[in-house]
Amino acid sequence: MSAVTRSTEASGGAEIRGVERNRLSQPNGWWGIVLLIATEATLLLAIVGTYYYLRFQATQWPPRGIAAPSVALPLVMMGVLLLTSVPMQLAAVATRAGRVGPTRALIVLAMLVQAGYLAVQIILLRNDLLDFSPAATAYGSIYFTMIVAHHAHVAIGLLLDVGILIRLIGGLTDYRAVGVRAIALYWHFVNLMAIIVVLTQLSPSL
Amino acid sequence: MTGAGRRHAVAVILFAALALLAAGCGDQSTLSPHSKASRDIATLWWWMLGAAGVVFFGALFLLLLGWTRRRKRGLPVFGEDEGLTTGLVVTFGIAVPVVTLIALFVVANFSVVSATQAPKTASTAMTIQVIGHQWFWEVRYPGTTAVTANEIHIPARTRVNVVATTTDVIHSLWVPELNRKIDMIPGHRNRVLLYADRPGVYRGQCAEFCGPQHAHMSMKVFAQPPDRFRAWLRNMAAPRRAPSSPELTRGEQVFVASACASCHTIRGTSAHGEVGPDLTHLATRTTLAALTIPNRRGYLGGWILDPQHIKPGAKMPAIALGGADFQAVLDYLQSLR
Amino acid sequence: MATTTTTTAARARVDRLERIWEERPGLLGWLTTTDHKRIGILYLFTSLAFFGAGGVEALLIRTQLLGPDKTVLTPQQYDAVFTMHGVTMIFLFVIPISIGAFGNYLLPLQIGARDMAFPRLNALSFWMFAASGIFIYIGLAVGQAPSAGWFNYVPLASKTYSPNLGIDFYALGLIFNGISSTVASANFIVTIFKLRAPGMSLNRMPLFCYAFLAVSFALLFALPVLSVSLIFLELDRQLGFHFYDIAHGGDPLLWQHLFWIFGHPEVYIIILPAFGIATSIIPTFVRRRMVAFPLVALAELLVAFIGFGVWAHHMFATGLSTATTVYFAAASLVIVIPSGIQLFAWIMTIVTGTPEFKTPLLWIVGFIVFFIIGGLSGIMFAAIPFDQQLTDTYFVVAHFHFVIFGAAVFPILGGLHYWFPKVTGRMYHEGLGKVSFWLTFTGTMVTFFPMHILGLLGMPRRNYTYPRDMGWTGFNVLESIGSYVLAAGLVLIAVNLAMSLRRGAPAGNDPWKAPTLEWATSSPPPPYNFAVIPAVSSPYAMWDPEDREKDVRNLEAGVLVLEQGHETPTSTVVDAEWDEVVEMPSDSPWPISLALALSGMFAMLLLAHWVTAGVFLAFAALVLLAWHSKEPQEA
Ligand code: HEA
Ligand code: HEA
Ligand code: HEC
Ligand code: CUA
Ligand SMILES: [Cu+2]
Repeated sequence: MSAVTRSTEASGGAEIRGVERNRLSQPNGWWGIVLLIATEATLLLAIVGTYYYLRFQATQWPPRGIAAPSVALPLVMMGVLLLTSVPMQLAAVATRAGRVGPTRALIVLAMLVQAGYLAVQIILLRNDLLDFSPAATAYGSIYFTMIVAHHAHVAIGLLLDVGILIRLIGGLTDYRAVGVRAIALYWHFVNLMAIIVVLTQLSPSL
Repeated sequence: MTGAGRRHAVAVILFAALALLAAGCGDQSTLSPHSKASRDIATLWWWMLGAAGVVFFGALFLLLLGWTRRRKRGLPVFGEDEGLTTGLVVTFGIAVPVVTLIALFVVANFSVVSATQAPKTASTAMTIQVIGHQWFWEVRYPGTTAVTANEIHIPARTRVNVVATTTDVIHSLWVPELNRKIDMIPGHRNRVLLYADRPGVYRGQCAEFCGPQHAHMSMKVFAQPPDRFRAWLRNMAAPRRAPSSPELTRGEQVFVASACASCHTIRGTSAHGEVGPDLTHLATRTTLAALTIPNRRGYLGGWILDPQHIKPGAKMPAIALGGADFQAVLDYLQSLR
Repeated sequence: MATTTTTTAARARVDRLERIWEERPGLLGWLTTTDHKRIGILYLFTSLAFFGAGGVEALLIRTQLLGPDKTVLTPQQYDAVFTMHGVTMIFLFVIPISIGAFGNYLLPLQIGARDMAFPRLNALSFWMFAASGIFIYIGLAVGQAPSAGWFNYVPLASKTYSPNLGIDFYALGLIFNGISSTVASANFIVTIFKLRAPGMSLNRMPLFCYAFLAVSFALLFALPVLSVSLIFLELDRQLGFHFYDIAHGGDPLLWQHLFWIFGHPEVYIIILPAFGIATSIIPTFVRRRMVAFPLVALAELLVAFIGFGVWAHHMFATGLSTATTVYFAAASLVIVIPSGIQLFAWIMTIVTGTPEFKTPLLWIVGFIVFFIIGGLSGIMFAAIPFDQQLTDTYFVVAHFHFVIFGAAVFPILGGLHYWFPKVTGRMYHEGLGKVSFWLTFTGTMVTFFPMHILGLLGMPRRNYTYPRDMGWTGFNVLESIGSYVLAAGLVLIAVNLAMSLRRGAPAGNDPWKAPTLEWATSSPPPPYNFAVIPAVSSPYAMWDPEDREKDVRNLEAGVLVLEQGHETPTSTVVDAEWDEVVEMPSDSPWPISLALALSGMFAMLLLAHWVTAGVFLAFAALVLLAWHSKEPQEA
């Protein structure tokens, strides 16, 4: 019996390291987030697919009177967001090693950048809204819907960051360690989707 | 198994009934084709039915075998041979279907389908435009001023290119004895072939659900000998027959002055409404309101007084005309040949 | 199994388990339960209630069509009724009963687990499902039922042509319902991947579980597409967006694509659990293992997979390009192969076994018959010109009621009988069971077979009435009579099962000598399912007597009993090596609270009270916070 891990009881660096070493396959929570990602990815891809469906249906894209999106800033922003995958992954690695300090620091670092990204994006979105409306053309409809859907995923990621950071105040447990890994995975997904969404958004100008 | 017997009997009876019906009546039957397209589809169906029958009764035979051998293990003759049993699954489940399906695919989707395809643009002189409305059919003859409703005239033995569109929701144009159906979708210009082997009247009906009166959105195709068709078309293209008596003139005046004119067009008058069917030659039609009622005085009067009773939900309101006005309008409409 | 042991040490262990897993009694217990069996039963009764509603709607349809020009329903009522019938049967009956009830109750038992991987999430899916069903039915109750058909084509479903709230009830209700099913399917997948009894490697997993694995994946990828199409619809309707509006660059066909990308996988989602049930019942009553086991498992997964590539066969008459239609026709034919494999595997298993035609097997035989006919008519639609001729007629209605009612619902009805002794501890009445089968079978044939003929005779579907002189009357009358017979058969089942609940003979653990693990435990099973996590060395675990003896020895030795806490073992995904022991949450008030908060949010979205909707969303977030306030080990 004792050979079998009771991972939920593990807390503190050494025990977590032990659990991670003994574990043969990914824990339930990790699988849960993978499946959540799978279904959310399908959702976003259906939206992106719609963008192209409408685009190839149209004679002019974006329609007359709407300027093609400007490229530079969104691309830079996307690059910055992508970089946050690095600290998130490092945080996941740190938890596996049972090191709570670096985990916290890395998540805070990533979170600041991610929050900055969202803030700038929201400003850009407001500017777009001044230029054209989602209720005027199908282009506007899909443009804003796609971007807001992406932002919603970033926002949820931020909430997850906050949640896990609060949890980590009390130190590391296996439950939290799995949480960190799941959240890191979620951010990789958000970042991948950011590439797809942003490139799609900018595609008329590329 | 008594169930199989019973089921068999039911199937036989139903198919006998089907054969009978297919032979005789069937106003709108896919099984009484009057064109190559429709005939090819019907033939395809009978072949598919035959093949399906073989598959079905083959499988049923196996099930019956299972029942008769319910106390014995293994296959007849071969006994308990897992390899062979799996082999049979592969044969019946993969090999036989693959062959059958490839045959079906090639015949149906390359050969038969080409007969039902819309004529290539410019390969036929005859193009008509059918426009779906909730719940009637507007028919136009490009190149002429002719507009009519619910009764589509075409020359027989002529490949007619039909352009099918809609002004509101999705409808579907379907005259099963002549060809397969085609949807009418906002923003899309779909086309389909209509061809009739010989003159006759072929019933059709809207096949895509389009709201409460979807059930009463029918139409008739009159395939006519070409000369008769041309004469008809000339008449249709002409403006309304001018009123020939004071009574009729009064009818026209009432019509034009009342709400009717805001929805209906009568070419040659100031009525230019576009909501309802063109009434310029109303009296030439055999039915009213997309085949809901016959075009006779009593029905016509009933329709104008209370269309909602005859076709609940129809886009025409009841119009209160005074007794004398009402009779005058009726007379007038009946004069529009 | 718990009862076969005698040693006091073993008794003490079982007692400990009893204490640890004890459920809260009374109504509160049901509202907060996380026990997969209780949730399964909640699903069962809720979905049966919706079956009753959908059935009443069906009978109203048939009564309206009993003769030409009848006025039982007004046109508007008829449209609402058939739309609600389709929506109810598909979203509120078949899927919840097969996945929610059968899947929930049986899956953990068949893999030797103590619960689902995420028990509270499981409760959440149930409460969201129930709430979404009630939500949609409130629409009907306040006279604002959706009435644009179950596939709800735009522009008929747009604000212009459907101005009342009916479509909003439909769209928001189905988004809500979809979240519930998505959550459930993720839960099933993790359960199947991780909670299999140590030793049950994938190749030792029952075919039933393969079917549910396939379904869960199909749901996981199909539902988001439905959600997207519905979100677009609501944005169009409520905020004036233009996804489907041709005048501003949208396209009504976009709806059709999105809907059917979901809709076709959906029909296999409906049928796959039925396949699973068939592969459970057949071996039991023919007393042999399934023929071609690996092929069947593969076929179940393939059906779900290929099902994603055929959607446009519902759109052959919309004027798609020839290349497109030909591709989709070919794909539709490919899907026949995995169906054929399974079909002949079932048949050959029956042929080479020694079948005993008890009620459950009769339902499966009926299922096979209907599946062949319905499948064959399905293939015919892959002949493009034939489809273009017969689409939107009663031929389609015939096809899908054969596959949906005859093929998907019959195994469910068979399963109700088959697992009745397990769930209730009592036997149903066999004689009545057979009578109800034959009644339903005959009724189904008489109701739906003539629909083929009607379709061929040119009768379009969704017609609230038909003219007298079309040659359609006789068949319609026959169908309506058939539907009453069919209803009588179903009521007889209900009567039989309800009476047996009290009077049935005691069933014992394993009245059928069945092969899967649910029969290893008592009837009904205890909250912890198994006193000892069962040993498994084949997919027919109960037919391996050595394993069952090993279980008894394990219990006596205290191996794999896990009587320390509310626990279940997890294992590796493929080989099912024992990996770790996880703590399972027990009853919780949060799932139902979250479902309530979300109901409030959807109601406010419906009424376009955006701020209030936001308040409910915040409330939901708070509930989520509370939900996660305790880590498992702090419980
Ligand atoms: C449980 C649900 C279910 C199932 C299993 C199926 C199975 C199939 N369906 Fe069906 N279908 C529906 C539910 C289902 N369908 C519904 C609900 C609709 C209508 C929706 C609406 O419009 O409201 C529909 C409509 C529908 C259409 C569109 C019709 C139209 O509207 O124009 C098409 C077109 O291709 C189609 C095809 C098929 C095919 C090829 C299969 C195949 O999977 C069938 C495979 C099975 C077999 C073929 C039988 C067994 C195999 C053998 C006996 C082997 C031997 C065979 C040969 C040698 C050929 N279906
Ligand atoms: C799972 C799906 C499902 C099921 C089971 C059924 C079951 C039935 N359906 Fe339906 N049907 C659909 C899915 C389904 N249908 C869909 C998707 C449509 C298309 C809608 C659209 O066009 O938008 C449709 C459309 C449809 C039409 C066409 C309407 C039209 O186009 O105008 C008709 C017409 O006869 C019909 C009839 C029936 C009948 C008589 C039954 C009978 O089998 C019903 C019998 C059931 C009962 C009588 C209930 C009795 C049950 C109890 C009392 C509880 C018993 C308890 C126990 C068994 C324990 N259905
Ligand atoms: C608000 C619009 C509206 C008004 C006003 C209106 N109609 Fe109509 N009418 C329609 C529509 C729409 C139809 C087609 C109904 C259908 O078949 O569903 C129709 C159909 C008809 C038909 C049958 C045409 C055919 O070919 O089947 C006649 C005749 C008719 N109207 C006469 C009248 C007369 C006479 C008046 C005035 C007294 C009138 N209408 C006023 C909208 C209107
Ligand atoms: Cu027009 Cu149905
Ligand atoms: Cu399909």
